[in-house]
Amino acid sequence: MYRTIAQLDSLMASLAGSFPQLCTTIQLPEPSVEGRNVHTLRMRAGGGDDRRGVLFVGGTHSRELMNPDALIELAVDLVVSYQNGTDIVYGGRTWPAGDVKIILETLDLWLVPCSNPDGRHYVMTVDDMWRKNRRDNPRTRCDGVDLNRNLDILWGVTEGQTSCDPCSDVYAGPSAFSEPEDRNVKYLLDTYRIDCFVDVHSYSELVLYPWGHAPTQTTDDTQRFTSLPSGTCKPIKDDQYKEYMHPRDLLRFQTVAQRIVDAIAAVRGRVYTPQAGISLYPTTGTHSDYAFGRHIANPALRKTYGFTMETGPFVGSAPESFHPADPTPVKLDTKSGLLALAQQCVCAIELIGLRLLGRENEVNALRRVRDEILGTTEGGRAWIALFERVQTPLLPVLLADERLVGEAAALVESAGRLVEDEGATLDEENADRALRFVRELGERMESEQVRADLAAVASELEAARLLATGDILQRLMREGPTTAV
Amino acid sequence: MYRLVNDLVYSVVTIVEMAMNEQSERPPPKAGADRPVVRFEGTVHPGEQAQDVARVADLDLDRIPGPEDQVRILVTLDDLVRLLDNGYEVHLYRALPVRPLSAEMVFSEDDTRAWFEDQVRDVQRAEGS
Repeated sequence: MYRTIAQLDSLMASLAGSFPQLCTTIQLPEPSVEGRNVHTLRMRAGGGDDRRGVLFVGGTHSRELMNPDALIELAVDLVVSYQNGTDIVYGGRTWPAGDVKIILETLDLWLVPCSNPDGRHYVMTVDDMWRKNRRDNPRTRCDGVDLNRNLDILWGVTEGQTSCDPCSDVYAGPSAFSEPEDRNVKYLLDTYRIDCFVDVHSYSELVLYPWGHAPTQTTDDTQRFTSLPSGTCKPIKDDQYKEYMHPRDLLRFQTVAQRIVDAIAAVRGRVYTPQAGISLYPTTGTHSDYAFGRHIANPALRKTYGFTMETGPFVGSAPESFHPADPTPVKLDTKSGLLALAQQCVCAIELIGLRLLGRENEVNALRRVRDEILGTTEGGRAWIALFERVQTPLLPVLLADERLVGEAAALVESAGRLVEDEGATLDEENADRALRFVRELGERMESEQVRADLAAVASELEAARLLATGDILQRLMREGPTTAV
Repeated sequence: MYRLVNDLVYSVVTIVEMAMNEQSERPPPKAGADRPVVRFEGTVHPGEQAQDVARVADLDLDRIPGPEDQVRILVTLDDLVRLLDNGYEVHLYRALPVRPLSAEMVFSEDDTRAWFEDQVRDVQRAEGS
């Protein structure tokens, strides 16, 4: 069963009316082509400015009916869990109330359950296989623009499944961002802090990340989409072209995609595949590539990790795959995957350093070390991956203990100061303090993997004792952690 | 070629149209230039004159996901003709009349309200909500 646009809007209004401390509805600036208002639901608990943000968009393609319902149901699940302190259970995957609390108290979640309301209405009233929006294409007999080809990244480059023909179901539109439904998504990216983004589609059980237009390479940073012409209505000229991605970003995409896949598999065993967008088929002008690519096109913009989910399996026929008679199991998978993405968007260092301490300089220094130093070598990236791996299970334990939070805050402050000065050394006092902290955390963890990761950190701390910052960083860059489970 | 395909498909379209008129209270969308009356779900295969099915992307069709080794499509009669004219072989699995989602698959207003009330039954709400 599926909800109409009016019902989705009404549920958003009910959430905001009944739980104003958690939910706010905001009307996006542009009505759809047919004049329908489009809303976003912001979810957050507590105060605080400049939170990390996650944007979930559904309903971009009209006939992919499951995802707007999944998004609104996820919002209700989060409210119930937060208000009652109860776990969320999706099949075999339990999301502890503590994890939900961290997500809502740390992040701003932005949900646009249905970005293409005209299309959904059309599917329910006229044509259940309609894909595009309801743009009247002038001087043609065909309607609609594919809203996942209309964004300003290689717009109008007809690589693979992208077309300049208004009659095609993958029509890119008359210009980049010609469609109000896509300008609403751009507005959210422009106006609010969005660190993680997902456009939820159906079907084929995939978690996609950039790039869609060409294979990815990590060695030649002169190969950038910004040097390619757009609006050509032709494919990319050079069929050997490969798009650059910084290895740190590729690792991040792969790591987060795998977390989403794992969270989905835990529900009922469905195995989604994480892969670059082009593996499905080549595309241009898509949401997830635009969300990530915009900071490359304009370095003044924030980096947003953009994903596309393709929910649900192929079950033998298009109608049953796009809108199964019972979408409940697929929606459970989807919601678990979306929670995993939100969880991966939490950054422990930012939480402790900025939200709890207000130490912007130290946090920025640590960020620079991560992105500009450690991110440049395989060893360094392995340390980053370790940190991103352990922070999720450690945070609930940490935040439940005020003394540990205080210790973590002091260590973030010391580490921030240390990395700002290449000549500074890790003195005995700070080394001992960090070791005590890491060992105490290790004793509280049940997971063998986390304990092994923390043991690797402890071993490195011993080795770094009395070394200068520059030498410590060299060590980390030379060799990744040695963890044995 | 066009006439041959048209003749072959004509009977399918007619049957589908009849079925639509029987099944749906809503009149079917108008046929002709504006909208198709029926689409076909199928897979594209190498033909005598077109071996590389990856090139089917050049035809700007509605390619839908399917099993990994398939090029699966959802196409109109005109699209089918273009595929055949371009030398591909097409296997058709079903004709899909253009019609609205079955009303049985859409929640009623009452269902929606009741679902929400059931979900938040035990949750404290803001006063006056």
